[in-house]
Amino acid sequence: MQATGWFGRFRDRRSGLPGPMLRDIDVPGIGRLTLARTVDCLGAMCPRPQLLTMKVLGEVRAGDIIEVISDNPTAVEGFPALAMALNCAHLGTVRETGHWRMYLRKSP
Amino acid sequence: MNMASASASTATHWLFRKSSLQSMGVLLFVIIGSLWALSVDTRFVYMLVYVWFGLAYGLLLQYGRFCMASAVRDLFAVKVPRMAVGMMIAVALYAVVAAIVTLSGFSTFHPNAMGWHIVIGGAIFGFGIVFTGGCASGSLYKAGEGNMNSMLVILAISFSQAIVVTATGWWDSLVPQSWLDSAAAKAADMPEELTITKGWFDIFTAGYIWDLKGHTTAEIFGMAETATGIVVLNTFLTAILPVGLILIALYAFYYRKGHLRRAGLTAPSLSDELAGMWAMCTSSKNTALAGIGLGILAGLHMYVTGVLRDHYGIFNFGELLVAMGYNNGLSIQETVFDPGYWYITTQEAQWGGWVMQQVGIENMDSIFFGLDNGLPNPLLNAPGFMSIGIILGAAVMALARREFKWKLPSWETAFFAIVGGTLMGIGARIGMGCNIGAFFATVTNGDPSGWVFLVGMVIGAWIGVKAFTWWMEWSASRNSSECGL
Repeated sequence: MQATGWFGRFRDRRSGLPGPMLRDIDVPGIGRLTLARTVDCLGAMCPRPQLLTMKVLGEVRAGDIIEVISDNPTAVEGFPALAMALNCAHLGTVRETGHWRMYLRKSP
Repeated sequence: MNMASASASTATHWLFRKSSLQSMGVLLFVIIGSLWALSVDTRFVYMLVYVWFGLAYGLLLQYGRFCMASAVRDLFAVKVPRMAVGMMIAVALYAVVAAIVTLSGFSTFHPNAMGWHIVIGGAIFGFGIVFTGGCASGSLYKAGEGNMNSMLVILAISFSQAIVVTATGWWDSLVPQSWLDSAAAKAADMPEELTITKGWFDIFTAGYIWDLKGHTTAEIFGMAETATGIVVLNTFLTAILPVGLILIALYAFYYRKGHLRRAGLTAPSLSDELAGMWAMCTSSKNTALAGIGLGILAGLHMYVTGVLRDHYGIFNFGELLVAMGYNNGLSIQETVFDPGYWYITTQEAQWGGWVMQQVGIENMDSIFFGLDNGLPNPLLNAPGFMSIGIILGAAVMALARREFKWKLPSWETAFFAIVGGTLMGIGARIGMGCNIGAFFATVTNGDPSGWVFLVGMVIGAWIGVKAFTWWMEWSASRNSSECGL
């Protein structure tokens, strides 16, 4: 029913992400990466993407790569600066339709 | 930084992409609307100055993702100084242009009354912005990106302000008796339509604010009319020097350690430190460029409005409205809100107040609307068009960069938008403005009260970040989803 679909969009997202699980992906312009975690921040307002990234970076090991997905242009703009502050390398930002994928590697 | 595009380059030239065409469509809409307004009456050019400066602010805010909420919030939330640096660049540039405008005699600036209310208002406002994900101007440009959460924030700011400035009943018990006595002493000199001893905000304004003084630094030293006073005291001492000190502090506390580590320096010389500060200021080029552009534009805005006021021989847009035959919604003094520079919150309060007035809630007996700002039809609300201009300018830029996306809030973010937006509205009225009107426009024009507002905002944002982090951890502990509720 249309109404259910409409209200369903307001419902909180349950992303159902895999937990700590290594997976290999090909990133255009960057190459092959092994991801330790993915942080899905679609629809999230600041400062949630930043705080979640900080939390996940605190949980992974040095050298691990994480992926952050966000559709918030302001948050995406600040990620290279955030990476510097959180002692990790910003490997790159990939633009998809309507969102971005950012790759960060935790430094030793 | 490596930016790559996932999608293969498409055959369509960027100029003919759907979003580019929509972007140009929005721009064309503003151009046609402007021409139509001029064809009705050329004096609408006064209002169109607000529209086009608003549009330019919106373009730059979106271009630099110039989120002033993150300027204070990110210092505590994630210890990133990027946006605070961008804001300081904008302050320095605005101050320099404002000095030139003041020296040329076309400044439209009025200092705010200095008092405890500025810290308290700033703190409430600063707490609110952590939960809404954007400040007053940030919410406007994010609304232009299609973010409905930010549209909710704007609604909340509009109505909460309108309610706060007209509320009476139990609210009146919030103010001390001394303010009521002070307001009562002035009541006899007030027009009959006003009831300044009824309504807590009226009592606050008449019994407290009116007893305070607002001065620029040059005025304090009796040098407001001199070039030395304007340049040395207002621009250098009140804006440039604090900006320099804040930039040094941001470098020392947030950037230096990481910079030295990345550069492999253990015993840095002064030139290494200066290179580090430069790297900090240029680390986000878009933000720095937007800061430069916004600073210069904000100063020019005052100049253009000042010149137009001179041309028409007016002090306020209300006089022009009367001359054009529009008498509705003016204040008792036949004025409307017309700051002549970048401002956000008061015109939003007028939107809320106007809607309430239309449904039969009398708002014109308040000082805020009835005596000072009026309640003009939103179609004749000049600063209101600046806010709409910001939304449209941001939409033009977001569409051109393919970043426009309609985004519905979740229940949680919608709740935060309404509660946070309401707090922002309350804070803005108590603190006499938002991060633009009470901070950005004041410190750059030599009014030190803006720094007091910033201190309040920092305190509020610090508490807000603590509360938000606690909420995130508490809600995450209730379910395993990382980005869910």
